[in-house]
Amino acid sequence: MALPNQQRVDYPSFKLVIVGDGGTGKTTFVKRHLTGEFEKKYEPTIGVEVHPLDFFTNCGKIRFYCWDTAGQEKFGGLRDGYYIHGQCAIIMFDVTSRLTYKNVPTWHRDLCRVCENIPIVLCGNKVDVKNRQVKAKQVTFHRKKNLQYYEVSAKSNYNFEKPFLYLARKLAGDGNLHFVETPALAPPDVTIDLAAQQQHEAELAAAAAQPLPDDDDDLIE
Amino acid sequence: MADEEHAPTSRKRVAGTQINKDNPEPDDDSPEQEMGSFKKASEEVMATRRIVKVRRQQPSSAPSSNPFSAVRFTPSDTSAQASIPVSEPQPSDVMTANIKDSCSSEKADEGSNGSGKDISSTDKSTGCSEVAEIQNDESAQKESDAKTKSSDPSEAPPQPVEDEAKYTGDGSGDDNVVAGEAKEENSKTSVVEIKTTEGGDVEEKNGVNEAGSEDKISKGDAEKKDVDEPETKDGTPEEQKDADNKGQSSSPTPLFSFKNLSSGQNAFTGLAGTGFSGSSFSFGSASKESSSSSLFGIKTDGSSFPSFNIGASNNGSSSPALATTAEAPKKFAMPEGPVETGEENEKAVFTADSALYEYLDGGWKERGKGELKLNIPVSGGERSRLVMRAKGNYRLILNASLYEDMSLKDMDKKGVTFACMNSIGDSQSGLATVALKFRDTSIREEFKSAVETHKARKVSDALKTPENSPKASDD
Repeated sequence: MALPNQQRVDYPSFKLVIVGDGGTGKTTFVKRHLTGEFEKKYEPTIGVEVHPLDFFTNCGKIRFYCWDTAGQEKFGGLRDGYYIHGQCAIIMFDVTSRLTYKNVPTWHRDLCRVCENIPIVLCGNKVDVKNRQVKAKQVTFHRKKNLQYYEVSAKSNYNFEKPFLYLARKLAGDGNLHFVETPALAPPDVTIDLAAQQQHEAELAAAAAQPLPDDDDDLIE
Repeated sequence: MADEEHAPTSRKRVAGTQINKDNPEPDDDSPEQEMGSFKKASEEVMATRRIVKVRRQQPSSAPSSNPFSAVRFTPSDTSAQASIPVSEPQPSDVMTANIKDSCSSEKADEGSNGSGKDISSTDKSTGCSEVAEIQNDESAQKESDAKTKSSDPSEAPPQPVEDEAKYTGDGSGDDNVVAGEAKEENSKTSVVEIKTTEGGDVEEKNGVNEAGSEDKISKGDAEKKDVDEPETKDGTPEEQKDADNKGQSSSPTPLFSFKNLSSGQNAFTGLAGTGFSGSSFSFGSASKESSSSSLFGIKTDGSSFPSFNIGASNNGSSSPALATTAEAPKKFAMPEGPVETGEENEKAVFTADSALYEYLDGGWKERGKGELKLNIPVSGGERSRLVMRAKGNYRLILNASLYEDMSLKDMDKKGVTFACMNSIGDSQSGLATVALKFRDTSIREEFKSAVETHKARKVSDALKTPENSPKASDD
């Protein structure tokens, strides 16, 4: 499951395959979880990128190896070859693009050909956009295929943990599983004196001068 | 088999064409056309094949390849049945009813259709050779014509086998012979009845007939043409399929041939003997063919020979479309345990919703939004720290001790920046420049005052009184 260069972990880990049309926000979604960063630049994924993503639950730690696959056909690489041994999946589309929703059945079919009977979450991303093309009522595919559907926004973090929570519950067979706070061990008792700060002064000054990203302040709520 | 071989070659060609495609478009078209042509050719054939397939598939509903195998197996069964017609017939009777229905429909349709249906019906009930018999009857008619020639068995072993099987069927049921005389429609009806009586013999015969259908076609009687053409068509695709699945094509013929020889010698008189011999052969054939006929296993319920069933079970020719079946997610035991936050011995003296940024490579990177806490140790003696987790996934994004020389600088947009050692995750991070953004400036000032109060916390726990006063003053 894990890549050769990734150390194994002693807690449950699962291969999560993320598919969907190009530009729907798969990589941004994963990156948002990994680093908290919201990447605005669009750089198509080539082939696949695998990232371990840990969550703490009331039942212990759980790891998803997120196989963030290329959405663009021309960068598809092995395509469904990446699905092998997938244990759960996220199918993502963009609610501001009808075409990406139309292609959901294709992604689902290809996925189910390789991975039979795995928990799958359908995610309509970018719900923060006011002028969306695919209304919530128009999303019906998940009903036919018995998928879980979430409207998410990688930008506003709306529901952004729900897909993982659903999958973790399915994989653990525990509907009451929930995420808990990551333990915050006591940080190292390092003294940062003025000398060190002065060395850091230049960066601090530059940083202070640099405006913070102009995110929607209401997101802090 | 040959077709299949061609198909892979075509695929290879296609691949080559695909490489060409990258460069010129016309190449792409050409390969596609080739592909289409192959398909089309198959479709042309398909018209006839389809008819046959439909018949067989409808009855059998199982893989198409099986019918032949079933037919082959049945001969032995049929012989056994012929020897002991009454004992097994009950299941066959039920089957026969179905078969009769199929036969009637088949009859209505055409002789050829009927034969196909018969085969299918036979497939359904291995024990029920009757349908096969019907087919056999048709074939028998043709065969009988050939038989009238009487040189068939001696001439070609495979043909004789078919003929013999038919003969055995005839022998078991006089009606079959009559039906053969009556020919297609009448014979079909009669055959159906006969089949009910006879049992599995017909199936084997049918299979033989199918195999021999080609030979029969060569014989080229008008009747044969009607029946045989569909049969041959069916037989060829089936044979291919069978050969693919089972690779039996060779095996069944020899077995039948043996039977044929024996049956041919015995002719009508030695039906029972043929049956036994056939049964023994059938076992052999079954073993050989066992891999091929999955249908039999299903249908074998009525059949007397368990061996056939086993063979059927072994058959498993059907392969799932994709080999890569995802492992069913293993439900692992995740016992619920105590949840530790690492802050059990601390209390938060300041909390606020905030957004955290880290200065990297000349720009601010968001690290998450959530609740920021300034924790002070309950027992004292340790440093106070800032702890912040992202909302939703509760990921730890800030875990840094305050220090005495810590300085906070205001930023635009209700932000504040400072340097800290952020200890999140496995990797120990070095000095980082971070920024916090609050909902409004009043909260930022509150935060700054709290930090100022507690950043020297380590020095003396007793100096808590200043905490409140400075805060108040700051506010």
